[in-house]
Amino acid sequence: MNRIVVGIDLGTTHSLVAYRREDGQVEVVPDRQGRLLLPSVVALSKDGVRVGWSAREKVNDPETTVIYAAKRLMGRSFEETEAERRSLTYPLVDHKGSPAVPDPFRNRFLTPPEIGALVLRDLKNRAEEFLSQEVSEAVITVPAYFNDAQRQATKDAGALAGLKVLRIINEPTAAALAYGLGSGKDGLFAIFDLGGGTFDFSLLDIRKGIFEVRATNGDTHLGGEDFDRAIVAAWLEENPKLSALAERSEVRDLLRKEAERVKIALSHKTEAEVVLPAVGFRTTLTRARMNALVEPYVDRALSCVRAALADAGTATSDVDGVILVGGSTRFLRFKEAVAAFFGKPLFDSVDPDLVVAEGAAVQADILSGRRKDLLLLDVTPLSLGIETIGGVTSTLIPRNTTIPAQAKELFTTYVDGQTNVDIHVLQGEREMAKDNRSLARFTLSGVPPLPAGTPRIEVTFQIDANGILEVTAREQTTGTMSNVVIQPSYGLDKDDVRNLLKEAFSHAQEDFATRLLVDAKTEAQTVINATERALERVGSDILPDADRVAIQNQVKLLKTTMEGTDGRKVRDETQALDRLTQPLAERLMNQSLSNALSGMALPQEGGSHA
Amino acid sequence: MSDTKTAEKKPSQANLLHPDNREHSHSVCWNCEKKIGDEDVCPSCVRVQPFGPERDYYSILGLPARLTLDPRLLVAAYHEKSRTFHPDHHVEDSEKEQTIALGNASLVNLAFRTLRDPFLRAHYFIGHVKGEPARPNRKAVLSSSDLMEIMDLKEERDALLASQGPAVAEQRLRAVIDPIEQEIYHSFEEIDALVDGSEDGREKLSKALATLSERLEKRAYLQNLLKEIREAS
Repeated sequence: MNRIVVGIDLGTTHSLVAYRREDGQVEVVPDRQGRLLLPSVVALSKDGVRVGWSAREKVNDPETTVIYAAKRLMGRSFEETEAERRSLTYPLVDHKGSPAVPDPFRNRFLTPPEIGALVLRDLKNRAEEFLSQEVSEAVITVPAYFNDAQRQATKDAGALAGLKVLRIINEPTAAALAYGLGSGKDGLFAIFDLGGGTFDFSLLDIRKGIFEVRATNGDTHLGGEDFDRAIVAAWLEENPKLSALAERSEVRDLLRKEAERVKIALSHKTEAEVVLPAVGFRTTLTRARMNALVEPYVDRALSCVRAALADAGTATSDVDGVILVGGSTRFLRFKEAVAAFFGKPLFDSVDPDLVVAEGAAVQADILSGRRKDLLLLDVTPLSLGIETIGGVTSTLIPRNTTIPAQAKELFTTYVDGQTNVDIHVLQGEREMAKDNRSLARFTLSGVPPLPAGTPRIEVTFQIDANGILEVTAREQTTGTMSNVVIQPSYGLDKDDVRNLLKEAFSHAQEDFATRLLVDAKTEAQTVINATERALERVGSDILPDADRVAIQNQVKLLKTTMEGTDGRKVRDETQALDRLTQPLAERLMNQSLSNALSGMALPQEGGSHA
Repeated sequence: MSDTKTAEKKPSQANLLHPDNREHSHSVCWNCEKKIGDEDVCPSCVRVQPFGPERDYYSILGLPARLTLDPRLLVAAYHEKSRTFHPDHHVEDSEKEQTIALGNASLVNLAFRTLRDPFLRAHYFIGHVKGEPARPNRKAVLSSSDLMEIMDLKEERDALLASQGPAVAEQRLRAVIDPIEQEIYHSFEEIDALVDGSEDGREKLSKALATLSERLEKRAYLQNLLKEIREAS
């Protein structure tokens, strides 16, 4: 069996998993019901943890904590999530500096990587079931504008779900990979990725199989949900009574959903009725009014675009095409604004919901060593620097530098005999260190005690192809290598991840072989029950004794196999029993039909069976 | 750009002003221990080789050390080296080879970033000819010259910003920057010729490099003034 690396789009509202088939086509893996999307929703209740559609159904259940949009919390400190806390309808507490959702039913706190891991594990299981093989490696996408901590947290989520994350790639780049392969055209492309909660823009040069990202920009707090919120805010402002009712989270939810519905409707017509009898609210919203409400957000998106164009030193006229990704790019006003800005054809032929996962699957294929003709050259979205005297940021690797990237910096001591040097690593574009995001603080220890200014400590800052930082240091006069351990400024540290992993493995009911066995046993039991019921009901007129014995023997064999641990064998024996009972089933069917045709009542099916 | 000479192997043009010119050191493959030169990939065992400390940005990309570079050749060289070293093409390899690929790919990116921009390239080239380290730790901080002129311009800019807006202020600055950039471009070919030329041209080269250096500094200051306008608006 070929090893398969899957591509996963871990989205704010929906997640998907895709892979590249033997025939080269990329396929998004459906669940048992044939659905491609998995809502990125986790529900905690007394009777268990649900993920996806079944979790989303619980949204108004007062006994259940329903966690959604956890991606917005990924890799952020508790303090940084203040804005989210005001709008989210589930509780968030400060757990060692990280936001966490209390799970009172299991007496624990779930951090964003752990929540992400639940969604990822569901996708992993889905893929394993679909492909009938173990899936343990993945490429996961993140918004291009994710910082180091957010990328690291996503990688941790993968590890917690039992996935080796071969690469974290940027969503717009993934989208372009999916498009670029289809079109086979070279050129400079602008990619807009507007999702529920994040906006990303990338400029990408495609030339003979090399996908070179020229610049990227974005806003981690700009998305379709902001449009909905702007509409709701306008309703509340016009209607004080509604405003009072909206203190309750169900009412807020109701209004938000209605705003979303109206927003979609107004992409096709110029006026929409809003009728919410439950809260006694009725109004009309015109397209023009809505466009005015969302205009500030559209402007914010376009200012990101201008910054990226300036970084790449290109003009709108250099761009050969515009690619739209993400569900919210369906929004008419957004399309109009983009078309007007570039004056170029828009490519939106591929389903914007699927294209990111499909691109991740392409990158997964490259990383599995099967595609040497393609290469993705991505960039780091944020500048990396260190704090220098006076709290000023000194940039080491500017934003939009192609990764992997490396910078070396020499440090020395200020005091005679000093053996430690403190270094504060920052990410961001601001002048002052305190305005940027603190990535890590660490101490170079073991510096040889020499006169001030004599030691020469060369520190190497390495951003890998995932956009994640590693630091090494070497004292040059003595040649000693200092081990730098980066402690993330908050969030999961290496030990946390290790412990959680150990826990996950000790509850290893989830591994593929076990799950196959459980599924096979369940199916076997169903077939056995049906067979035994049929055997009780039918006489030798329908079932010859020889056949009965053969069936009974196979049931016995299957029961013995079920006591073992080989899931595949259970499945094979189940199929054998199925084949044996096939003629009986047909005869029963014919009998029922002739009974029905002669006006007799049908035998009651399954009445005694729970 | 007129320079279309391919990257033929010539004795290094580096360190002309310094006699302690080091040739590329020959070494052995880390894996099969066969003797090799500065090949990217060992000819015997096909493992990627780490760039030695003497490899400068030009040699990393396999390009001639000159001020004038054909942008198409530069991009082609960059893509070729990326295909060789990018970590995505070494996922299956040993940890040691992955580390080498990561380090080399980072240097390829840095080399391309430096040589792609004509002003960064010129700045690097000056250090290269002077025999400064092949891969400077950080881009040097430009020292101030022509400071009075720039201070005057800054005041003028601020006055224009206040009275007539950013577009006019930008226009005024561009009127100073554009000719300087033209002068910089025009000196590239002359300097390349001097580097290729005989010993007699050494003094002339030294002078031309000093002038280029001054113009680069001045331009950097003026660019900052421009940047401040854009950031303010």
